[in-house]
Amino acid sequence: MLKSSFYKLAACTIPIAAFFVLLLASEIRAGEATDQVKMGIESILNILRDPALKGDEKISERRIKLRKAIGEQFDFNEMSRRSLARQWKSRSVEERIEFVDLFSGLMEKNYVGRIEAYTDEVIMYKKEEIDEDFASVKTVIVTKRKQEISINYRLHMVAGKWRVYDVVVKGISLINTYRQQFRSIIKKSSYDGLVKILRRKRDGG
Amino acid sequence: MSQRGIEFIVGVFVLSGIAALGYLSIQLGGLDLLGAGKYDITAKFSTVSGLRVGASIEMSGVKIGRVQKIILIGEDALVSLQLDNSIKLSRDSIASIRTKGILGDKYILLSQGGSDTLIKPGGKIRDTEPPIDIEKLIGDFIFGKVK
Repeated sequence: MLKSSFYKLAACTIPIAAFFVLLLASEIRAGEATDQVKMGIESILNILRDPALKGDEKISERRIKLRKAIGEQFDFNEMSRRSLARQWKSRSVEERIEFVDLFSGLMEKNYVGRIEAYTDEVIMYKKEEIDEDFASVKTVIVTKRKQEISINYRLHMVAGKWRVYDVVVKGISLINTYRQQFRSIIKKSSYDGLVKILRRKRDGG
Repeated sequence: MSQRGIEFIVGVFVLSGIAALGYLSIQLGGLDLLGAGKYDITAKFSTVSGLRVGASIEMSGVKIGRVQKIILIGEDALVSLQLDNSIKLSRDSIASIRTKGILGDKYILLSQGGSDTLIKPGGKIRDTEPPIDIEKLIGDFIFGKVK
């Protein structure tokens, strides 16, 4: 009698306990993409705030550190693949390696200056969505003039770590913008023409 | 010709007329009864303002489908896209809501990605771009200049 009621109790309790454990686990998983974006941004901001790295004479040292911190968060390989779209398939391994290098160079050229212009704007982390191996983290930057700029980071899981493959600023996707530009350049000239343009951008203006 | 024969011919004529009218109204209404040769996928947008059911879905300017349904899920809009079977979308395709001309209708532009994995019928496009709010951008641009 006592034994059977014990079993009944266990039969009720175990699924409930399991449910809460699962709920807890999903909550832990829910915050992890945001945490990682937050940590990544903090590590970049720490470099910018570091007094030992301020000023023009420290520029090369600062940029090396920035490049490393950004490279840990952003998946330049995936970004290159996505922005080249169909062209990526017809490229050889060497060409792909070269393109990833050129693409990261382009990103650096275009955005490091802007990142360095950062001056204590407030970053708010709004919402995150996880769907299998993909996640999106919505953030809002409030500028000094109280303008709100929405920036969404799109991430995917690579070897147990979330890495950014697209940045959507005010609803405009970075990857889609480059995908269209690259496509129209390739259509007008050729893939080699695109590589030439990217190389020229990297080496000087 | 007998009375019955004439009545039969008139009957056939009336029925074919009704069938033709039915076909015409389905065609004009853009209703797709059978959905043959088509498949559905979904895409989630932060906003779809101005996009209507029935709006066209284009790739490189060519119509490849239509918007089947728009529903609200939480704060986002979930759009069902009905595409022609001949269209194979890779997993990293991007769906953007764009405007025809400056003040024209909204439509969905798909840009094909490079992944080997395809989006299956019933699947979803993860990467989307909401419509660009031109007035807001102009506002930001104007007020952004005040300094």
